[in-house]
Amino acid sequence: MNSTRAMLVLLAALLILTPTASGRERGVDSLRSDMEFAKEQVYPALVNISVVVKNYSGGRPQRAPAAGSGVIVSPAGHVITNYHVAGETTQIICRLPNKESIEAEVIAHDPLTDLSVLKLKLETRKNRNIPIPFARLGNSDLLTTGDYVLAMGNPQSLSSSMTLGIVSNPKRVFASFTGAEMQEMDLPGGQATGKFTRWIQHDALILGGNSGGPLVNMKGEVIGINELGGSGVGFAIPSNLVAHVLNQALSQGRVIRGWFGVSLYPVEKMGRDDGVLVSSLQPGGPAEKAGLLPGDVLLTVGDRPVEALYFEQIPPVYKFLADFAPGSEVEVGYLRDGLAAKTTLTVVEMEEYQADVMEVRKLGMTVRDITGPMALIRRYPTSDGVYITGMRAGSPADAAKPKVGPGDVIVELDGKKVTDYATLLKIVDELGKRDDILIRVWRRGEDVITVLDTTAKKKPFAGGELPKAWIGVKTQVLTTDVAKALGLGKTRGFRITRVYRQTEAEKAGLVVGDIITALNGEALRAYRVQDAELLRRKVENLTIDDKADLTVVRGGEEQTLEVVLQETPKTSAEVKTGADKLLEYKIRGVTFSDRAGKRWPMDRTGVIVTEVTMGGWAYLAGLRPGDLIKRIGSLEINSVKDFKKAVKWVAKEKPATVSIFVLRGYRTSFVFIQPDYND
Amino acid sequence: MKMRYVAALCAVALLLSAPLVGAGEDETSVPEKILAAKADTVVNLKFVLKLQIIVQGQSRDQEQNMEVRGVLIGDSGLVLTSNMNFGGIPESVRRQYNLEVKATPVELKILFGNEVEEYDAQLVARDSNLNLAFVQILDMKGRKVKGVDLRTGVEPRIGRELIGVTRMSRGFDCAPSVGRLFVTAKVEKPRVMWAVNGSFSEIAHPVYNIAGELAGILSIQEGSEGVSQGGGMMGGGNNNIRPVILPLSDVVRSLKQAEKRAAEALETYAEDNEGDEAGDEAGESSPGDGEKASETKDGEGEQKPEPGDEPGDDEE
Repeated sequence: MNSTRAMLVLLAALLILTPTASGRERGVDSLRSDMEFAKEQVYPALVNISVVVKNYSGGRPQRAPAAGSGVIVSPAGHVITNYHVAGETTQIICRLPNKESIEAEVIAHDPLTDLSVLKLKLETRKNRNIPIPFARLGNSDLLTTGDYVLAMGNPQSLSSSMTLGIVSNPKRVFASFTGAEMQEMDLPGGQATGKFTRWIQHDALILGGNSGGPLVNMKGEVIGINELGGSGVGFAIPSNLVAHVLNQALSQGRVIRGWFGVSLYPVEKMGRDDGVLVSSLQPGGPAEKAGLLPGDVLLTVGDRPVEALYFEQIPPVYKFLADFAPGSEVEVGYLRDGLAAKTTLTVVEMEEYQADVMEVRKLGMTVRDITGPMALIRRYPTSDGVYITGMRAGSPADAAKPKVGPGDVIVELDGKKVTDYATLLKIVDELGKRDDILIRVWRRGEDVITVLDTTAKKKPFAGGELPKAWIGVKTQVLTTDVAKALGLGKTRGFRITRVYRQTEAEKAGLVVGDIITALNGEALRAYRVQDAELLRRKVENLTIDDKADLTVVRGGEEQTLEVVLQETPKTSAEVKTGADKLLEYKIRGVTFSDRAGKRWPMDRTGVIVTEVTMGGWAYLAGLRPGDLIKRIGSLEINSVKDFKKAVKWVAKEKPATVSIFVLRGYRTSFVFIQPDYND
Repeated sequence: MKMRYVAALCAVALLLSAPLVGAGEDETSVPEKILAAKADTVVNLKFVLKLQIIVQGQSRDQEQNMEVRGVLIGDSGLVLTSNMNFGGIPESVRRQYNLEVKATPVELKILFGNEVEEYDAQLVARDSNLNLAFVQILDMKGRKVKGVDLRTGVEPRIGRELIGVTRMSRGFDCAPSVGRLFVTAKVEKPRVMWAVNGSFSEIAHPVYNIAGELAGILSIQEGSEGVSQGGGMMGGGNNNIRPVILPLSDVVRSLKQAEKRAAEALETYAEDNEGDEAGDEAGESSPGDGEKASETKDGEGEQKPEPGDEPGDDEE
């Protein structure tokens, strides 16, 4: 009995301890329900961000469509995304999972953390009464290795998606392969980033397009913003850093940080277990001014000890220093040659490494202001001046002798000192068209002056080839073989393969198959394919509007036809041209060759697109060289003159969408251009 | 005795040589007079020729600083020069070497004699058949010029001498210089022209008979049929390309067309210099505007393609 009871108890215990199939299902169900809960909390607030990125190349902005992800984090419609998604853009459209599209504006960019804070223009929503969904930020410091996380976003710019993974490392930093130093990271525009970041490394699949999307815990909180990924590993910016940036953006409209002017290194290899090593100082920075030296070990900053034994501990120290308000006096305790000492430094505001690139259209160049860090790194004497980043070919600066070009720093223009972009723009606005504008640049230690000529903007008329006499037919040489096969014996000359419509050749009665054997009584001794140009050359030697006698063989009979010699039709280089400088494309009139070559009706009108500037608005919308423009907006385009009127209409009325009706190949199509007129 | 013999010999020599010297002076006075009368019609053209040379499909870009001669035509500032100065190459040469040249003259200036003042100018038309190019001075800066009148002249005659006037290069003080040509043949077909030999080789320059009358324009022409006649690697030359005198009637036909284009060029230049900021959004230009038009597709101006030969044609 006892043994039976003991057995029953044991069985009962085993039943309790052994996971049953239903128990495992309950585990899966639990994960699924956690995921569904997390999804419900965050997914509706996920946004697919479409932007028009403005890159600068060759002295001009080049626009391109790009996409990324983001997440709404406030009921007011604030969106967090990556700076590398929303920075240097001209248009930002956020699309919610419910397909609602809302334009967004930038509240603040923070390249140093690769974060941007946007705000949806909720006032533009069709139904403003429906509250905007938003997600809450969690505490990223609570994450541990092995925690489940969900990556939400729009991989490959497809519609919204969600992937599952675990946290592989909640405090990942990037050290060099040898472990000797932390690796600096640069964004595509050259901005340094990641100084304050310990990334959340995870294995939830993220791809291009996931950037800026949320990393979500099972409580349905955003605990990171995905930044990097691929090959089964992803990196997210921790939400606590995100919250800091968000708070600063909301309270101050930008992220303000203090700057000490020090570079730090962990002390582990020095055999120490406290403090952080000063590895270098920025010349003229607060720390140098306060008397600190490379090799000093910082022990305290303000009233708190600082310590970094390992690289992973460096970013929080930097962040701690950056949290001091600019202008504040901070006491620093340090160790030098084994002796403890203290000094006080005055914190200054941290500048971005690089200022934004701006265009100076009148000079055909792009420039950026010189920041303090840039001046220090490049060893410029001051941060006054404007750094040239790009130059349009043929612009006044490019045409100057000697040239002014990328890498030069403009310090003076037209006798006036250039301190920054604003002063440069003011001087340029006052210049007018002149050919004696003195410009002074600083070039790797040299003081170079040269002269800009802004008068030669338009190229004068340049004539082409003069018209020659022409007969409106296409021909092939009557080769010996063909002549023999046609039973024409030793006849030599040209067989007509095409008679162009509405030409004098057609009027004269020439038809396909006629063999032209003589011109004005002179035999045409063509019998090899190499003789193909003979007829054209002989005709070109005759006079336009004169009559020429063509001896032709038709149906075995020889006859003479009189043809009036026409002018060679205008080539594409000889017709009028036009350009829309705002939308950045060029056109020309339609030629006889266009009509004949494409077998269009001879009365086909319009203008043909010859060039679409890469990165321009027309390019973005898909206008292509070769398109025949038939209508712009509601204006019919039959000539270059019509086109010019339409361009002026666009410039004046600034329609949100410029619709262009084109003939492309054998079918018609519409191109919708949506320019940002303020850009 | 010996001295007397020598003196006598010298006297004979002097006597014999005197009429010869006199006849020579009379003869050379003709070119001298023509030189004096026509030197001012010859101007220098200074420009940078941007070239894209495509040989056997391989493209190479280069720039050449050019300084060449041209002749003022009429009094409007129109200058006649050789199309070869702007990259023109005979068609047979292009075909033989599978050669394509796109040439764009930029920063074109006209200089008078050895003066330093430069006058903005523009290539307005090319006639690759006649191997001529027309350049218009865009801003005469008040200067009055009197060029050659191509509408008045005489026909060359076989066996007669012709005189050409040009200038030496800037390195030689732009000194006016003359050369002689001898008319060797008259070609009737496909167009009338006169073959010449001699020491004058400035293409697109007028030539005068010894009466100082305009007799035609020196050019080089390719035969309307055939190809290089012999020679090959051992030399022998291309007998299908020859220096010829073009009849004035042919040149005037081109001139009339060029004058129209020159007038358009002047009009456009005037408009462009009015500072038309309003038209900036809609930059429109006259036929042949911009680099494209001044390019030559194949070294002889914008080659007239047969309809249907242009890129993008024959789309289905």
